[in-house]
Amino acid sequence: MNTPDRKDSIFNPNLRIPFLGILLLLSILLDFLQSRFLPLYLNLDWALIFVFYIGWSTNPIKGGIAGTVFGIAQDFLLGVMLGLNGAIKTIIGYSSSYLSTILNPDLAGIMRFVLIALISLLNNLLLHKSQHILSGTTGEIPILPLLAGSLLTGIAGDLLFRLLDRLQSDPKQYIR
Amino acid sequence: MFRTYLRKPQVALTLLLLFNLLMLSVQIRSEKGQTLLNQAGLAVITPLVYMEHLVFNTVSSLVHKYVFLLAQDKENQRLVRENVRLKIELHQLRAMKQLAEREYFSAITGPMLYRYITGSVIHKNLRFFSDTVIVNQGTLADVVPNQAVISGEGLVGKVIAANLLASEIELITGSLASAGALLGNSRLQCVVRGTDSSLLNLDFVSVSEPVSIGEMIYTSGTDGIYPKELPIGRIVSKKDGRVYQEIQVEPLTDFSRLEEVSIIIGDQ
Repeated sequence: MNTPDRKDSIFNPNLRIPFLGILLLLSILLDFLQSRFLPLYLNLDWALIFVFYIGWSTNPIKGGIAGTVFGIAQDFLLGVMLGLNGAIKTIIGYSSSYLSTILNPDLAGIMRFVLIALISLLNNLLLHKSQHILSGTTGEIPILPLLAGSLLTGIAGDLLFRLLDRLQSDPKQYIR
Repeated sequence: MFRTYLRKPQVALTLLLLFNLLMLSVQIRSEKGQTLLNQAGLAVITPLVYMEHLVFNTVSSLVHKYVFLLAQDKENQRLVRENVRLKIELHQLRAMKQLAEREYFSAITGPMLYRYITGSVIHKNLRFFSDTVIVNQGTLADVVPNQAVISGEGLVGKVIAANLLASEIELITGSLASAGALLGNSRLQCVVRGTDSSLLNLDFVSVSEPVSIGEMIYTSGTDGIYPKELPIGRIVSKKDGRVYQEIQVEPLTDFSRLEEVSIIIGDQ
């Protein structure tokens, strides 16, 4: 498999770090607000969307690093074991970069929605299962709320992809 | 050459995953209920929160003593501690009275008589209504992991890590926390479990068991951590499941206003 390294300069060079920093802060803020005020089935996985976007738009190393940073921030915020979301999101960020080379990088809205929703569902199932195994507890996986959350994450992900694409300084750079 | 090696995606992925797995592995609890991360985190944060507590308290104390009411603050602090002590003694006496009425007083009063020390909460976790808090009492005051922590109102949680000067308390509302419990009226033994929210779940109460809203829940003393008859909370909702009822309990302790707690350090 070829390493997808052709997208290193997708962000405006002046905005690269601030842009990622803003995404991280936004992800923390949104996770913080919704985990306190919204029911489980309305909990979108913002960190997943941002990590997927970064992985999809850059290279696997940046995707992986973003996955670790966003995932650990999310673990800290949700009060789960540090590294649980970190490990899963690292794999997501890393693989999304490869996915963008295998699939059409300018996926149509519906396909992008399906892809993000599926990854979100997989992420949620893995998260619940790992949490039970590591803490030695048992419990049913709330499949319906997770499914609803994954679908909403898919919709939000597609909308956010469009919004973030527009924020790129030079749209021509985005054409591959 | 090393930098080139690091830029290989597979190497980067392996290192990142190892980092995450290392983070996870240091959080798995030992038999004493203590983790390496807890210990390290507590060691790092203790001087900081002590300083913060010291500075804040000194400034606040100066303002109160010299700007508002001279020495009134000290008296107030003494009264708060006295109030906590009296409330705990009241719980003990009420529990003993209940047992005395059941005529096996002498056999089982032991587990309810305990020594405790009072400490101040010097740091609260970001999730202020759940998870953990840090108290300014440590191993110097005989605090060790797995000791029960109570407030004047009721159960707070247990110690999960301690160093010389401070200890970390896992609140009963945390998703990993649980305790043996008793229904106040029927004395049925069950388990109360934290849910990472302001309410607790009461497990293993069968659908045939009569339960009333507002009924008190006490610790059962069967888990080896919490003494018997400590008040935990009141039932606020119940719903029939297939075999067991789905019961929610509101803790008596107001975790968002937790200032003083008592750590049970042994039997009397």
